[in-house]
Amino acid sequence: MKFSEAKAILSKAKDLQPLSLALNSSGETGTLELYLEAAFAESGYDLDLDTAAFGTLQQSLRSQKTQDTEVVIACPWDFCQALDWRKGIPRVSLNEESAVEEIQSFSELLIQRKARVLYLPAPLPPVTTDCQRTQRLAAIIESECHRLNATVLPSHWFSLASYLSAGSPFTGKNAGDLARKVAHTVCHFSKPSKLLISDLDNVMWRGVIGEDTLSGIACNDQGAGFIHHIYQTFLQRLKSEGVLLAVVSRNDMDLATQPFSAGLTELVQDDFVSFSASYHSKSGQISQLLETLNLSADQSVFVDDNPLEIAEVELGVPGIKAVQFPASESGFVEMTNQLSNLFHRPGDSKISVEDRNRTAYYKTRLAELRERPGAGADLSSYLASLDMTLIIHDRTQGPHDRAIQLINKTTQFNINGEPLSMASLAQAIDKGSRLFTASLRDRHGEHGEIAACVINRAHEVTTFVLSCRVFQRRVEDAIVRFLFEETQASSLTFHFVETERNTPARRFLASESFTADPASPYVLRPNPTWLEQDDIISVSKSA
Amino acid sequence: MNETELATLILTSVLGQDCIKDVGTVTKEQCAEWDSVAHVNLIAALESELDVFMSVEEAEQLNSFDSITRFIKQSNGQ
Repeated sequence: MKFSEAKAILSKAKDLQPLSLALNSSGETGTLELYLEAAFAESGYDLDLDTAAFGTLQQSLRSQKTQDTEVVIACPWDFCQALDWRKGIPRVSLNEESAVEEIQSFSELLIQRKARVLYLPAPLPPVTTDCQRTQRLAAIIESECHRLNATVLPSHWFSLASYLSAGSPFTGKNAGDLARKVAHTVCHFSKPSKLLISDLDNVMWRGVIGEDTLSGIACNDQGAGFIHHIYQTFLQRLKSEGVLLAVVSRNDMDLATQPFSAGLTELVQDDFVSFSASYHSKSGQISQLLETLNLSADQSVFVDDNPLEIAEVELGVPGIKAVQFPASESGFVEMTNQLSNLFHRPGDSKISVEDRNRTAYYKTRLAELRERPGAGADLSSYLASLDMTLIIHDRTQGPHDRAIQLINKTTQFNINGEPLSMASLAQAIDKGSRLFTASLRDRHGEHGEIAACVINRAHEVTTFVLSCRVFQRRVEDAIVRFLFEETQASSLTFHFVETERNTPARRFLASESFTADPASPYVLRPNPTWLEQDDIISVSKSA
Repeated sequence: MNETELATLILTSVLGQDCIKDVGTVTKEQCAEWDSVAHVNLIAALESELDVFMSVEEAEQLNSFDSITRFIKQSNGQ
């Protein structure tokens, strides 16, 4: 976060909740204030900051009353005063034993305070006769920091120039990063979370159960599903420690439960306090779950692979902590560490019988839970920020392979579920039908060819499928809007046939975007307001 | 944001809008609000905005609107 960004965040911030924070550091922290205010504003808080005077950390920790929200930013010389560059190099080599005692004594003080600690591992001055012994002291301090569950900051955030000239050990360059670390430490680590709500497809297993079917998904201890297997074992451990697990998925219930009942998964359905699979908004489903369990949003963590679902839940359930499941192994370690921190238990706490049985207790409470539609959060501004571009390809003259693959694989957003062969597509094209496909890209990258539709001369949409990877982005709206423009038709007839799986397609065609012909429910005219809503996705036709 | 606009934003934010009659001519010497604490905040703001580290010597030379705009220009490679 740069200076101008911090100013901009604060000028736009509104509806903030007050939060008092005691920030204790032996260094000067005045330069951080603006960035701290901005970082907390990003998390929805109006910061009331109380800081210790320069050079009085030990004193204030010993004399002040324990604060509810207290953060200590410690440097090596807070653990052992002889390590302070501002004091110069001691004439006599430092006695290692007494230094270790001093380090441990400061560590104990921090434990008693129950403060959240961030540690800046500044380089140590040469206080002993050989540099290896000095490095040993550095290692002892870092090990104490791990015992304190401290966040260890990057060492290059230390600036000797700033420390010597102004008493502030932090580089101005990283002031914004440091402020965000403090805000993250306070907002996300304040109390251990109690409930983990997980998505299924590409989280609990690799693949999409609705498209890849049971044989096409993976969550065993090898290959593409390995990280999903580890994720499940991690969830098992959390459950054994008293964390409640729940599933919220956009899916059909029978599909969602298949991998569990088929024994593909480490977890069983009974491990979850609630298992919700429907096409209602996730934020609506989660709000209802929290209400019934009598838990607050800030006690809950939501895990999903789709940034759009995460944005929808963060908007619709303010305060919930959302964690994105990575697309590959590269982000997996970071994600598990993040979850581990969110559900951290104090080192000395024992797992009680109540912890072990918590899921069963809460299930009783959930007996009255009934599915109800949730309105969901308005994602318009988030969608606009994605800079989506939809490119429509007229594939009437080919190639047809990807379209055929998509049509025959897609079950959820598929208007009739009818399979289409190369031969029958060619026959339809001979009679004047046109085949369109669409590919999508946004600021995160390419999503590939994600939709296909076939429309005949009589303006009948005989096939229309959309990959579930791009649900909720209003891609379907953009495609149908394109069809109206391309054909100049006042109405389109959709060959809709209800299947076991195509609820998303049925809901789209029944939406307020269209007016149905009274005689035929799938002869649809566009509503004028819907036609004007074309600013979310930029649509172009490929040459 | 060009170097003049950025220097104006940082100086008015750190020293206070009301304290500076004409930000374009302000110097450390003639501005009472430009004390050591304000100077540290000013340097931190410049380091953060320009993604640079400053030595004590460099920081000490930034004592007027003009020297700050020159520094911003140099840091931006102009």
